Amino acid sequence: MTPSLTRTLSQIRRAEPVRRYLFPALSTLMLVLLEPVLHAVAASPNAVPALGLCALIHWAGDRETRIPYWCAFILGLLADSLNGTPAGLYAAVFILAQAATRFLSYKLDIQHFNTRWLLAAAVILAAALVMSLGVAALSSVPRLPPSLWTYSLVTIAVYPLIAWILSLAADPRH
Amino acid sequence: MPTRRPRTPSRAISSRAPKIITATTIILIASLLIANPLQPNLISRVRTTMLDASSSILQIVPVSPINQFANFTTSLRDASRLRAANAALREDNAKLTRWYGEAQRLQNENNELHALLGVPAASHPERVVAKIIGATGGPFSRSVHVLAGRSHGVNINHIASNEIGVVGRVIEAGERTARVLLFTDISSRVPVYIGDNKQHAILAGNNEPQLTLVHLPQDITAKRGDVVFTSGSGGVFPPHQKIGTVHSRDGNRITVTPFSDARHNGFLILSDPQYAVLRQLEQNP
Repeated sequence: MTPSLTRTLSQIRRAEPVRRYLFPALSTLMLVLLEPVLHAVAASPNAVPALGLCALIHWAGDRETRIPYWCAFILGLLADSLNGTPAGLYAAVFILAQAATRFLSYKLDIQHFNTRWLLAAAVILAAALVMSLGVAALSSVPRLPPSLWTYSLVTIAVYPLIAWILSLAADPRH
Repeated sequence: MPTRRPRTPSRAISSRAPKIITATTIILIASLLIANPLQPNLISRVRTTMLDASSSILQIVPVSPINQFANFTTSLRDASRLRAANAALREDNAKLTRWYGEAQRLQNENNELHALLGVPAASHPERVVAKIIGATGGPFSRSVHVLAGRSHGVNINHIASNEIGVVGRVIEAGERTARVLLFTDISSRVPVYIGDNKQHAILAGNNEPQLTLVHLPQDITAKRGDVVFTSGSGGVFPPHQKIGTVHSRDGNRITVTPFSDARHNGFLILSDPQYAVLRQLEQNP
C-alpha cells in the first residue's frame, strides 16, 4: 500500500460517522457472514464461535460506538437465514444482548478489560440459553441441544481475540 | 427569561423517531416469531431471499483449498487405520468382482427384455451439481447452503448426495441458493433399514457427528459395521440409498456413522427423488 492510500484510509477510518456507526455495523456484518464459511470447513461444527454476537457485544460495550437497534435487527435476521434458526430469533437475541451490554456497561462503569470479558461471558451464556429455548419452542424438537455449553465456552474464549482485532481495526494506534 | 422554542411537527417526529423505530423493530420481531409456525412459507421466502442476497459474498471465500487442508489433516489422523481398511477393501473387492459378472449378465438380460416388451427409454429429470458455499453449525442446526436454486431446477425435497451416498434433502429453495438439511440435524428423522436382515428403524440426528437409531424392533440384530440404507417409507427419500454404518451398540442404543461429513464436500448432487429411483434401477436392474 502506498503512503498516500494508507493516509486516506486512516482519514476515512477516523471520520466521525464512519468510526461511530458504519465501521461497527460493517465489521459485525462481515463476521456474521464469515460464520457459515467457517462452519463449512471446521473440523467440528461446535468449534466455531458466534462471531457476530462477539462483535455486537464488543461494540455495545464501547460508549463511543453505536449500532442502532434496527441495524442489529437486520443483522440478526441475516444470521437467522444463515444459521437455519427460526426467523426473528437471532434478531431478538442480538437486540437483547446489545441492550443488556449497554445497560450493564453504563451502570457498572466498566473500565478494565477483564470485567468487560466477564460481562460478555454472562451475556453470551444468557444469549445461548435464550437461543436454545427459542429453538426448542419454535421448532419440532422440544429439547436443548447437547453441544450448547461447548459452543458457549468457545465463544467466550474467542471474545478477547475478536475484541482486540476490532479495536485494532477501528483505530490502529491502539 | 429564556423563551421556549415552539414544537414544530417535524421536531416532534424527529425527537420521537428512535422510540418509533425501536417499537417497530420489537413489533417486527414478535410478528416474525409468531409467523414461524403459522406462516412457514412466508418465513421460508424471507430466509431464502436473504440467503440469495448474501450468496454473492459467501461464494467469494474459497472453501475448497481450506477443505483440502482439513481433509489432509484428517487423512494423517486416519493413517493408523490404513492396514485394517486395506484388508477390508481387499475382501470387498473380491466380493464385488464376483458380483460384477452377475450384474453384467442381468443388465444384458434386462436390456433384451426391455427391447422385447418395447419399453420406452425413461426420461430423467435433470440432476444438479451444486457448490457448497456455507454451512450452519453450533448447537442449533446442521445444514449446508448450496449455490443452486429454483432457477437451476432445484426444489424442496430434492435429495442431496455425494459420491458415497445420500446426505440430506433440500428444505428451502431460493432463486439462486438452497439449504440442505443434513441427516445429522437435530430435527432430522429418516426411515431406514439395517444390513442384510432389513430390520426397519428411524435414523435420528442429534447435531452431533454420530446419528442414533430409534424405534427399533425388539429383536434387533444390528452389529458394528452393518450398512444403513433408506427404506423409502414416507416417500421423501428413495429406498436403498446408503447413509452410513453402525458404529456402536450399547444395548438398544445404536449409533451410526455417516459415510462422510457433507460439510467438507466441495459439491453436492441435488436430484429429484424420482430420478434417484430411476438411476438406482439402472445401476441395479
